[in-house]
Parts: sequence; C-alpha cells; structure tokens
Amino acid sequence: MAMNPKLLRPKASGVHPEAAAWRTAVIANGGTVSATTMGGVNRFCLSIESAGLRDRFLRLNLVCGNSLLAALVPLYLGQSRTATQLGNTTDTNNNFVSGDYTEATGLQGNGSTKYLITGVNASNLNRNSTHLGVYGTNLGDASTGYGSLAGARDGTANNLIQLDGKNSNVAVNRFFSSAANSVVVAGSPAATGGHVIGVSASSTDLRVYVAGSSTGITATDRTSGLLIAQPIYIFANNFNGSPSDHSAMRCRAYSFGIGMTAAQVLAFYNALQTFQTSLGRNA
Amino acid sequence: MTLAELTLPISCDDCKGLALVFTPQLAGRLSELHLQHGSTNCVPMPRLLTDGRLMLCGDILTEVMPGGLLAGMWAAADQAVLLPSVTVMPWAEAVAMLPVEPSLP
Repeated sequence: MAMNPKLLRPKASGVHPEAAAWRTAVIANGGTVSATTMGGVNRFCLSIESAGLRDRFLRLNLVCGNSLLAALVPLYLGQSRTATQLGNTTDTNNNFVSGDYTEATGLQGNGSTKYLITGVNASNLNRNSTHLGVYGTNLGDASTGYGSLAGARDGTANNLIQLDGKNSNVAVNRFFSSAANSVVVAGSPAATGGHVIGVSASSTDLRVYVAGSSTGITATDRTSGLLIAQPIYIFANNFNGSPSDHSAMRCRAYSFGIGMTAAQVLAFYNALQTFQTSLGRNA
Repeated sequence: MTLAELTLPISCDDCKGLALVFTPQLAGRLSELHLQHGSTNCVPMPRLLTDGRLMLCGDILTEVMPGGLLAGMWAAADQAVLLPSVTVMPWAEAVAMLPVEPSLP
C-alpha cells in the first residue's frame, strides 16, 4: 500500500530539531509517524525547552508512532542532543509483539515475561538528584499484585532505583536507595493511571508526584551506597541482571534522569499531558 | 500438545492464552538463531520455570509469519526438529510454574 505523503512530509518551518531527529530514527527503525503525532512531539519538545527542563532527562520515550517499531525509539538519549548519548539507541524489546501496541492505547505489559531494556546503567544516576517516572494505565495492576514499572537493583536489594505498582488501587510505592530509605505512597486510586514520577531533589528530599502533585516524601538521608551498574528496565526491575516483578501496565511514556523541583515536575506533567491529549490517550 | 500440532497462523488473542515450553538446550539454539537472524526490536527471552524448562508467551508466534519481526529467525530454524520439541500448554499453567520473584516487602 502506498504511504500517504502527509505522513512523512516535514513542516515548512518550526520543527524542533530533536523532534525531527526522532522522526528520522523512527523511520530508520521501520516505523512511521503521522502528522498528528509529529505535531504533538514537536510541541512537547518546544514546551520542555521553554520550561528549561531539557537537561533534566537522560532518557525519555513517548511510546508513540504507528507501530511497535516506532514506539521503541526514545525521543531523548542524553541531557541534550549534543551531549553523550547513553544506552541503546532503541529500547531492546524482550517478548513484546506488534499486537501489544497501538498508538491510541500504548504498550501493554503482561506482568510476567515482557520488558524493555534501556541500556542505561543505574550507576549513571546521581542518587541525590534523580527522577524516574512513567505515564500510563494499569500502574497498580500486576498479575501477582505487585509490579515494578521501572528500575534496577543489586542482589542485596539495598541499592536500588525502582518505581513500583502494587495491588488493585495502589500505584507508586517505592523509590530509590535502600529498602529502609524509600517513599511509600499508600493507596491512591488516581495513581493507577496517569503520570507517576519519583524524584530525589537532594540527599534528604525524596518524594513521589502523581499528576504533578507531591504525594509522598521522606527526609531520610540517603548518601551511602551505590546504584548498580546494570541497565534500567521498563515494565520490570533489573534484579542484578535478571528481570523481576514484571508489570502489566499500559505504558505511554517513561523517563529518567536528573532531579526536579516541584515546579519543574508540574511543567513536565503539563507538557506530557498535553502530548497525551493530542493523541487522545490522556489518563 | 506440541507446536507441530498447532495450526499457524494463529490470532494474537488466541496466542496469548498459550505458553511455549522447551528445554534449555533448545533455548540455546533459539538464542543462536536470534543472534544470526533477529534484532533488538523483538528478542524472544524465555523465563525459567520451576521444573528447569523455559517458557515464552505463545503470542510470539504472531511474529514468525512473513513480515513479522521474527520471520527470518523462523525461516532459518530446522522446523522438523523445533516444532515437536516445543510443548504448548495453557498460559495459566505455565505462569503457575514461574518461580517466586524476589519482591521487596
């Protein structure tokens, strides 16, 4: 079938270079991008840049495009387009099939076998200034009643960065550092869908935001310990080299990188929500 | 039932109710085939079951037909050996054989 030329035609002006580079990477990976999606990605890039947030991201994937091949291509791979690019150029897909993805709904996990490998080691993150977040639905719905949305941890389960969903109506319950130094957000029905992000803003300020608002905080000092030199997984956590605690979430974006202020988290959420709305899949 | 007795192609919805179970030796051969003919866009990464066998979700079969992400790997496989060597079982039965994961409290 002939491709609609509108799908790939560049706009006359105003295309953000990172949006354009992303589209090029999607096509190189065998996917395509509709004009609607391209417009949304472009506006997202402009919003992030105008809010001064671009250097907060080491990796961000908006999980969009016409097919699974497109959805595997992250928008951001480093703190800027010219900075060192980290991890895999595309997310390594373990066990997802084309039928697990539609742009209208996102990428569906199964809580037992499917996960993505970013290729970015957790040790690239600074435990005193970090974020890890996802946007999606079924965030608290794991087949075992517990699922890691993203993360990596060592064999002792003490040095970790992990964002979890738990049981039917609880979303984020753990983030960062050690089992003794974690944010636990008791059941928040709103957090079963939408944007959840764990943020370490300093060695004594660790919190979780849901839909741009802080819902949990700990002031426990977390200056000791190291984050593991193993890549961060999405839809599971990397337990010392093996996937563990798979999630059945339906993912529509993920990101990790540097810490943010409350105002920055809100600006990020607003840009992300506007993007998701442009695709008709806001949660 | 083995994979040799399953009629392909099969719908994604039907596949999701099935698990493909096989030996570590066959898993090694599949890994070699993937290295030669596959890509990171679709990696069949089986999970270990408590009886020592390995398991994939049956929906991976939706990618073996022409045009699928695993079509090259599938075409290169010795199917006379592969198909009878893979046990097809209900998904729920296979999931029940997954080891307990080291979840945090």
